[in-house]
Amino acid sequence: MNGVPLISLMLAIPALGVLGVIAGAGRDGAAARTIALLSSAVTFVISLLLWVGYEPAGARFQFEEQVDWLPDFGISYHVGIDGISLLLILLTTIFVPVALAASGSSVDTRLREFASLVLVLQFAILGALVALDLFVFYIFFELMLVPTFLLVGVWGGERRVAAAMRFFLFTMVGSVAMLVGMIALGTSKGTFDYVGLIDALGKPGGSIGAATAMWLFVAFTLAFAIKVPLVPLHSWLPEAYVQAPVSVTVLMSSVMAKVGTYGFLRFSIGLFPGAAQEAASAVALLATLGIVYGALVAAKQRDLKRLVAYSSISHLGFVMLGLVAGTTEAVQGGVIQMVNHGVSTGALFLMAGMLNERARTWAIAHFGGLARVMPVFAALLVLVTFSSAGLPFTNGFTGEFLILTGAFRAPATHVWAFAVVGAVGVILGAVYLLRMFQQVMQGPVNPAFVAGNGGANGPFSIGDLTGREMLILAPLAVLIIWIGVYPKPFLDRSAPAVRAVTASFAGASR
Amino acid sequence: MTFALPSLDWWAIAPMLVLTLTGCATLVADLLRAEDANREPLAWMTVAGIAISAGVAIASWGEAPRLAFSDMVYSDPFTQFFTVLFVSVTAVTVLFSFEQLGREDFHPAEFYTLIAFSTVGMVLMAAAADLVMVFLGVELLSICLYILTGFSRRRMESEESAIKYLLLGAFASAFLLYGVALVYGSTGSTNLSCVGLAIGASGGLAGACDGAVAAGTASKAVLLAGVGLLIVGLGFKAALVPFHSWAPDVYEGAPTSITAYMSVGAKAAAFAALLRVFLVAFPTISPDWSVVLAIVATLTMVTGNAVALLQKNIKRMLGYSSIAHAGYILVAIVSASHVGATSLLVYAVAYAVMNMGAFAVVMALGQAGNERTLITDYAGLSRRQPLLAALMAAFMLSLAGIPPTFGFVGKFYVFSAAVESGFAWLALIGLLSSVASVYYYLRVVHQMYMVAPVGEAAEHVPGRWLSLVAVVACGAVFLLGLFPGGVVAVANASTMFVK
Repeated sequence: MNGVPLISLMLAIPALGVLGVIAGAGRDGAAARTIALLSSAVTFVISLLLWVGYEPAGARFQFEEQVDWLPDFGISYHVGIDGISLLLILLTTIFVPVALAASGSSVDTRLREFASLVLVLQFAILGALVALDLFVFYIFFELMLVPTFLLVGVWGGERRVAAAMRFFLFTMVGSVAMLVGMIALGTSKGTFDYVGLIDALGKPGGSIGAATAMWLFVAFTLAFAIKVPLVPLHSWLPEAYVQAPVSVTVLMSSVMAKVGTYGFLRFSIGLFPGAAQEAASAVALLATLGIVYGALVAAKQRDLKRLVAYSSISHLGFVMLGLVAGTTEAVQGGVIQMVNHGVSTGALFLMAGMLNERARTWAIAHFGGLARVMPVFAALLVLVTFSSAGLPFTNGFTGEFLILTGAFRAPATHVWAFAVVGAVGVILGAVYLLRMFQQVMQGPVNPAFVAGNGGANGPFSIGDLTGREMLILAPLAVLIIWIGVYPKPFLDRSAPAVRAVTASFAGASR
Repeated sequence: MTFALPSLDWWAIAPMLVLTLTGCATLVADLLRAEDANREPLAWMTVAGIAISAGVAIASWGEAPRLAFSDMVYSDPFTQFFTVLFVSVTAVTVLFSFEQLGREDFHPAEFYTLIAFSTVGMVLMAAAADLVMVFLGVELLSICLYILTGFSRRRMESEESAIKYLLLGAFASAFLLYGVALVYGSTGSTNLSCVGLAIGASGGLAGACDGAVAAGTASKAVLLAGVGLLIVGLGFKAALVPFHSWAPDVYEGAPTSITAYMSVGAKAAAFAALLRVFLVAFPTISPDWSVVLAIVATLTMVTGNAVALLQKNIKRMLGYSSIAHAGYILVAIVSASHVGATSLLVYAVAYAVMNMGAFAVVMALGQAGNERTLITDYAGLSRRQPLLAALMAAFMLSLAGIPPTFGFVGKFYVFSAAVESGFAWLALIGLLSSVASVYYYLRVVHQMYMVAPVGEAAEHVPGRWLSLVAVVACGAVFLLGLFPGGVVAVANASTMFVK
């Protein structure tokens, strides 16, 4: 494998895919989705090669590539992965084909543009996950905005334009704060290289002072906190998630939000562990607030998609709590929970979308008794709901358990108290998720779903999962059980990277 | 008494000479041609003159920097850099004119002559080594522009904007001239380097400073008053707030090709002059003026972006946005450093590329008798003209400073220089105000991609030169956004005179 620039190859495939879609699909875009699926399949294969080739015991960053770009500023095209980015890369390469396949009936116009924008988004997300240079990271981080804006704004629901605009402007405010911080840091140290900066900051006399570090931490964290989003910076989220077509919502929540949490871990904590330690209580407070607030608001929703959107806020609160707690278990749990959130929330959005395709509504009250109508769907929904609620033997349990046990032992003051509140959040999550399941799946069947006199389609007017839909959900179900029962391969790969972070964190507290 | 004939360094001013001769030649050629003859030869003559002028400037690249014509002009990489930039903008404007001349019943000969002469004015502003030369350049440029602004004789707004521009411009010139007089009164010289020496600057190219006062004896109060008036005069040309009130009306009223020309060329020329004057003549008192300019930059960025939010006409919107961009460029001068000067040049190129591109699309959509410049005229463009819409979207994103475009690189350089010089707060204000700009740029994208087309707009084929300009500019926006190294290296070499 040596000598093959796997990471650049992985970035090149979606870029080539865009050209392929534009050139290969006719004006009606009939072949667009197929070409895009093909491209994302190749990307997935390359990411598997990274998974196989990654040595948990090896160097901190692997598959590194570095080429000078703007030497005046100490900027280079520097990419590489560690265990944390590896997991998120796989999450991305799995979810892009899933989202493309699931876009089936919710997106039926301008397929050529749709498919190419999804690939641009994939390119940007993967780029952000592998960047080891702040400037390169920023470029990919910002590049995510444009395709997302268009995907929501063109293919979204009724209020799509306002939602897309709000999303763009909110995230942009955070980004420019980060840009200023990045420039201040990069110009003072003469490099934008992540590894170089960590070295420069760690050297004796290389410190930038606690006050400056805190300013920079806040500037970086603002960008990521909006992207995640952390309450109270979340107000762009419900509209954007609800207005976007399901496949785009899946990409935004399962994958794009992870770039926010990843950035927080990699850059905010990685570069300024001292400031992160000092601000841990504040971030933990906001994270816990998000857990409880998201759960309470989700419990009130009558709209299925909105419910999942708020549950997403709640679950990302757990991730942030884990990351900021700073103990190895908690950060490890935060990393695993990033993947879990992607899988479970993505699956919930996908399944909600499948219901919507059948019933043309998001209203929870409209459903009921579907377990009898769609038994396979019901079985899968049980699994996904359990996973999202964090029940044992599902992935959600692994993540939340690690986060909460880790947070109890957090060195920063009061973080353990937030863990207690977070534990209450787990119960709240179970409450609204199981109630949703009950309202949708159990009770009397809505007469609207009963076909008159048992027509050609059987006794019900809507059918169970189709083969294509099962194919879409199958990999997610496998992941839910795999991470729930045997998380070792995932934990092993991310452990060295997590320990590198927590070591600097613990070092800063002394 | 012997009288030594001065040896004239014609080569140093050759680009300007070529342009002047080109302007004269088009006038004469027009007299010789038949009444209804094709007007294209005149345009090609101008383009040829421009090409020669650019060629001369490029050929002199790498020569040792020197003063020429009794220390009146510089022939140095900075001059050559801006010469190439200005003539490129002019060339694009001439290509634009193919469309506009046919549409609006222009007199071609005068149009091309005035364009050539005004370019001479711009080059002179960048080359000036003496405040008197700055003034001459400004006047030559301005007088040509007053006429060009009113060139759409049939359109009332065009005439109105020309008168507004003339009246306000005359005021600004008076301020500029009075500023020159006060600086002279304080330091005893109008030569930039001599002024610099008189107030304690050292090094650099200097001519014979016979009349200048000894270093340290200049009256500071008079000097600062002069500097303030120079800011007003040049600030008017660059459309800095609060000297900007003419700009939106003029940009809206002028023929679109001239709007593009003014908003890019004239603005860049004003900044070239500002940079040269402030960093050659007044570097030693930079603490005094950099705060003033920082406030002006803040006002300019915030006002430009805030008011652009409200615009319904795309020319007006681009007018206000160009005010905001002037604010960003001014940040580069505030930095008062070599890096700052380099970033100014980089931003000037970035701005020229993306703005000329955007105007090419605006012109491509216009039709005879209907310029179609309302933002709502762009509704559904992605369905009617997918290529034009994609190009416009690229220019909007670049103007908004979204990576990986050249516009982002420009902003990055400018604000990096500001942070390095201790103006992090200015960088933060600039970038936050640019978030507001994202909204109005995206509104165009929104109209093009998310709104259904209104009515049955007739399929209309944009002129091939407009399409060519737009496609090339779009390529440059992305290519230079990803690989800005070359431009940065050239800009860096061009600003060696700034320490």
